Amino acid sequence: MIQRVHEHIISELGANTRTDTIFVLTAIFINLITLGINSGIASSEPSATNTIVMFTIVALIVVVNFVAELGLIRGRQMRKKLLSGLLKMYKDQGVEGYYDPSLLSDYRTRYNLFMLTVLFTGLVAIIIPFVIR
Amino acid sequence: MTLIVVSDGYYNRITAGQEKTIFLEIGNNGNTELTNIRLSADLPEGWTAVFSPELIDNLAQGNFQTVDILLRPADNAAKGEYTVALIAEANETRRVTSIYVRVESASLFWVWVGVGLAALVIAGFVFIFMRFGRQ
Repeated sequence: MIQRVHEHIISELGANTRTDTIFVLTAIFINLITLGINSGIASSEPSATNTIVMFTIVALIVVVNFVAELGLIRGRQMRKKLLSGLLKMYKDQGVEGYYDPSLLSDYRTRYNLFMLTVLFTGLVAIIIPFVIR
Repeated sequence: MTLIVVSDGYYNRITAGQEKTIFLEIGNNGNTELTNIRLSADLPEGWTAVFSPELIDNLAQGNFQTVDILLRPADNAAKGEYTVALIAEANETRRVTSIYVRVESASLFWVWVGVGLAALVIAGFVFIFMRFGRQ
């Protein structure tokens, strides 16, 4: 049974990694695409329509980034829980020496860096078009 | 008659509402004297151009005369590229040339809008990080 639980945790960790990768890549991709679109709009003739489109795209950027940030925070918490369970299991089996608990804090740092990357590409996508305008 | 724009050339950058001097050189490469050369410009709405001198009484063949143009875009001129036609009209002939003027916005309004939005996003990020990151 413990082997089944172990497999389940490993499978959950894999799904967690895939989901977080999708969150990060999608957010960065959308930020860069919207940066291009909004910069193009900002360089064109100013009009009320252009302003509305720009603000709509900014709203999209904000929503996508907040969803990605929330997803990453949740992903980090989920990974922490899964790894804690895994560590406990290893401890119970007397093989905890093979898994360094400092990996938990390493994952935390990595998630924070992902979140900063998403946040800063989002900020660039918001600010640059308004500077161009 | 030749009409030559010198100084910054045919492409100029001006901030909306601010003046810029452009130098224009009028030359006579024909074989007769040109008289009563009147200078004017075809400008976008709200723009002004002051020529100095505005009128050249006569220009002998092979001679050149420099003219200063004080160009001022409208205060509310939208950012972008504009074409200004410069016209020199003598009793004997007429010549038109164009210059491109890029108007740059004097206002930092949109920059502050962007900075404000960015500040809101950072504040929101800090909030969700504090609110959900602890659980």
